[in-house]
Amino acid sequence: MGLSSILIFQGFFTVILFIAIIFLWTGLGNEKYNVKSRKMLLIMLFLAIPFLGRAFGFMDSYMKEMMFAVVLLQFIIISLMMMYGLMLYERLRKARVDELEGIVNTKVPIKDDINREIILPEIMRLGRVRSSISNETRAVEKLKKEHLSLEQKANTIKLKVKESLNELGKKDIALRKRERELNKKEGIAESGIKKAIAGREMIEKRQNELNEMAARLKERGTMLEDKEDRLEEMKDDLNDISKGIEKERNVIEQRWNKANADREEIKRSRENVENAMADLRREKADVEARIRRLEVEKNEFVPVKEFVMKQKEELGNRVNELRRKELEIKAFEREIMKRNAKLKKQEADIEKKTSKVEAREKSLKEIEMQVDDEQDALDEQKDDIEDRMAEIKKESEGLEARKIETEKIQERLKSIERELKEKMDKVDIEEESLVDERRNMQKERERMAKKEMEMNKQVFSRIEGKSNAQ
Amino acid sequence: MLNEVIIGLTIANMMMLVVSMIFMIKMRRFESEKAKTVLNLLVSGMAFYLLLLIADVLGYLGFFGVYEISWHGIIRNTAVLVMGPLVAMCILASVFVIRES
Repeated sequence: MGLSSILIFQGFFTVILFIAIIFLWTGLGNEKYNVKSRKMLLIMLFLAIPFLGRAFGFMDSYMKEMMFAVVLLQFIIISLMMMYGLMLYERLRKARVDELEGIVNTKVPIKDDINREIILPEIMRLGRVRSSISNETRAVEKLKKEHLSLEQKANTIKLKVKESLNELGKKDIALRKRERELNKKEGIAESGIKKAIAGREMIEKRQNELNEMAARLKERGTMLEDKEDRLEEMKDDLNDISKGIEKERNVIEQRWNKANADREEIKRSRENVENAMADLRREKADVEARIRRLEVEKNEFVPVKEFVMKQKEELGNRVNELRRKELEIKAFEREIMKRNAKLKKQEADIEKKTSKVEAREKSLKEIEMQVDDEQDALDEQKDDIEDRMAEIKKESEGLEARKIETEKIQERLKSIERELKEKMDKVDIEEESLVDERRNMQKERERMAKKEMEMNKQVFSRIEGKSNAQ
Repeated sequence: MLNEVIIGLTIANMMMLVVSMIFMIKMRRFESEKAKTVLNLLVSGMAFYLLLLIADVLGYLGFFGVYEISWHGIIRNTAVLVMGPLVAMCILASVFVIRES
């Protein structure tokens, strides 16, 4: 048995259940039950039709049409349910409002007492709780604002400190750069001085060498002069001999040329040496100028060094100040932490209070529930009372009929009473007349008795007179 | 076109069902205790019906090929299998509660 067959069975089972419910519902039709939203149930029973449509879902040929029909039916039933629900809710709400107005407008003294003794203190208490909560929330908001402003201040101070630290760092870096540059320049100057000293030494060495060379040249010069002298002597000798030795003249001329070339070379070398000397002098002058400049620069860098030292001192002071500020910020942070702790405590207190309020609200809700239950019980009683009232109405209608009858009877009785009264009056009058007659009779009797007595007295007196006479 | 209409109507049904459930829940305070249990049962029945409609929408989306849901048939069948009798049971229970009262 596949899932599809189970589905078909299940769908039909649902439909059968719905049909059973419909039968049960119709069976309940005439019975009395106290459900105000019973028509909602009745509308829900119409959902049996879509379920019936679903149960025939195995018919694949009209699948879409069936789906559409089912959905449309569902739409109609659910929209009906929604509309009826809305209407019923509004009606019941209005009825409840009317009932409440009725309760409120009734002039029962206990209602005022309930209002005065129970509801008013509760409202006052809740108002107080609300005001205290609002005050606390305001205080918390104020504290939060203060906390935020303090945090902002702390942040700004931190930023400023960071900025100043950055600036100081930059300045420190720049000063270090300057220091490095100065050190480099110092090094360069020292190396220049060393170079200058070395140059001087070299120049001195070269000067010595040149002096030696000059001495040599002088020696050579002297030698040349000697040679010239010799040559001249030889010239003289040659002049003496030239005449005889012309062949040797060319050789001498050649030697002379050579000597001239040597002389020129020497002159050139001398000029070169002189140029080198001039160069060396210039270099010496340059080096001396450099040394002077370096000394001037060194003298110039002395205030810079002092300035750097001052700035270093200032940096140290600023670092100390920053440390102090950091300590202050730390102290400030501690204060903020303390305030945070206080805030947390206050928040915890507020939470406790809110939990208390919630507990009170819960208790109120429970009371409301109880009141609702009592209201339900009252509603039930009301319904019973209404039923009883209906019965009483019926009875009262019967009673009214009986009343009318009794009124009629009473009227009759009244007329009879009146007659009886009249008769009684008459009887009374007769009684009175009888009493009068009785009184008269008694009086007559008394008179008669008196007369009898007199008569008797007369008779006795006569009898006595007769006896006396006898 | 019909497919879109069916899906749209089903979604509208879901929304209206939710609204009517809200009204039913709101109406509980006007009713007595037993009537409240009846309303609770009806609301739970409606909730099951809502689940059925959600499964229906998923099923239609898969069935009409709007989204490629391979398990749309399983969802829909399971929903019909489980939710339908549950809805009926809830209504039946509410009727019994009324009958008992």
